[in-house]
Amino acid sequence: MLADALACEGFKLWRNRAALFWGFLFVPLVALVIGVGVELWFRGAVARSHVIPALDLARVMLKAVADAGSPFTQLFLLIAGASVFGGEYRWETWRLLTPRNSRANLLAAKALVVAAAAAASVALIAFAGIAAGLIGAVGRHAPTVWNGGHDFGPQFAGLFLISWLQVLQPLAVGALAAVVSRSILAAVMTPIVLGVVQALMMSQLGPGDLATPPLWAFLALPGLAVELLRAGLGGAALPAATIWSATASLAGWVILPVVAAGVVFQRQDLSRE
Amino acid sequence: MTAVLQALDLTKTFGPVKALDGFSLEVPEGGVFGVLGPNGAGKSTLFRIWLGLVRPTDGRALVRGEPAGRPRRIGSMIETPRFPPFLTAVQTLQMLALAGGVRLTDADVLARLERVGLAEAAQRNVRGFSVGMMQRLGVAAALLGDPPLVILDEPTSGMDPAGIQEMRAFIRSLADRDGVTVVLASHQLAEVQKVCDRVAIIDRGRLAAQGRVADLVAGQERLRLVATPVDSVLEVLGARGVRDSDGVLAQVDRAEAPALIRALVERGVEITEARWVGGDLERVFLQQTGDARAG
Repeated sequence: MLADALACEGFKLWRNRAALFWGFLFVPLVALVIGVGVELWFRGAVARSHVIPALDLARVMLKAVADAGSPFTQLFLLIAGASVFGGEYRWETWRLLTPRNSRANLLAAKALVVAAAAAASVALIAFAGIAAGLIGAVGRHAPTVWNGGHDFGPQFAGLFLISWLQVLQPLAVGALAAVVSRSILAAVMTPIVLGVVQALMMSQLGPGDLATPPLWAFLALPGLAVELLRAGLGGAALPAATIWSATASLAGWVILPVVAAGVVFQRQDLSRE
Repeated sequence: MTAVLQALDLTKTFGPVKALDGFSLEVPEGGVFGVLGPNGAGKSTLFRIWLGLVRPTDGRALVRGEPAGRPRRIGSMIETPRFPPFLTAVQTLQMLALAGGVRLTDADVLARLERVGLAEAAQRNVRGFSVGMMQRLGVAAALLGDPPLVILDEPTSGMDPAGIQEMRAFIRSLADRDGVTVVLASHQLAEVQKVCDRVAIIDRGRLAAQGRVADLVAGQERLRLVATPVDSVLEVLGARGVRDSDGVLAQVDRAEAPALIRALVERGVEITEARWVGGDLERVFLQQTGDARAG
């Protein structure tokens, strides 16, 4: 049953302290430390200028959640994801697990546990950003204001979802690489190399392409989809077709590699893990 | 006799290597069944196919009459088991129990570790375990959920002599006390002879021999006689006797032996030694695998 596989994977990840800390907790901690550091520096600058700007809590929250899916976050999550998806090959433990539960359940459990941990990590990073902003505001005795408006909730949820999908996309590619190559290293390096190539391709797009992206860009560049969706949530006037295409592109880049990993794993000989 | 495991004309190739070549075998329910073979004979591949870890290239593998590959209640330990290095022995069993939907209390886990002699290492990280300890933990893991069928690949590998003896007794008790069907592969032929009821010998992916251990070794026994004059002994035995250093090897049944010795004494032959030799699995194994190579 999937519930059994989930319980097993959760049990294992919770006790894999190295993967848990470096993969899911390190970035939120760094975000908090850097955020507080910046705020303290800002406090000094404010003291010199004798102007104390108010803290717009809504803006801070939206920025924190929008920034949570940064490449820095993706890199550390990749390390944890590689440990989860490639661990059984490295430790040669598939032979212990596959006779106890179906392969589909075991791989789905890994994907779901990683997705849940990534969501928690993104939430913690956002929380760290908000906490740093508040600490800074208290430190410089700045007033706190709320300019969220009526659409703050959907906007916050949308940005959280985009950041989450943004970090899941390389993790999904890493899952496929781990299963195909049976290697943790490949699970980290493949999404990085692919990400660099995609970033280079994106940099070649002209302003016209960004306004109405060609089909190949939607198919090949999930990063473009992230930018378009964020712009849409930020109020940019984008055609509905563009929004839908971007959503499909990002969702496809998250779901299809995991499905492909499942198909490969289902037929994979475990003569050696 | 119900077959719990069946291999029907199984073939498995890994690139140019044929690990199994039209292999067929039925493992009956109950007792301890040994699968023997030289390195690379195809034993582990056969086990992995029955456990669904590997798909056959051709032929069928059945577990209790159903196609292999579906998770079911089979305990298994394939080669030297490995475990996530950050878990303790207790956590390892808890994790594997969760994967199989087996609910265990802490006391259950400790009792299982105690049964394989790992009680004192229960809270130790498996990273520091010796090969023998890994084997013991592997056996404990194989028995989670109390499966009626257990497949053990080299269960005594890496163990010291005392550990081997302990494991042999443990495996025997699984079959005799708990009614578990145990299928094991081992290179320790003397151990296999002591613990197994039936064996199959695989050589180069093919079935070389199979049967009850007692039946397989029975035809291999020779009565070795040290007696004078030797010529008289050879005369009585005829084609069934051959000279062997200072004695004679006689190919006779155990039932015939008293009459033979009586006849020799009546002919004035002085017998200084009479003992059975060669009734071991090793001779059968070497004969089967050696013959196949020679052929």
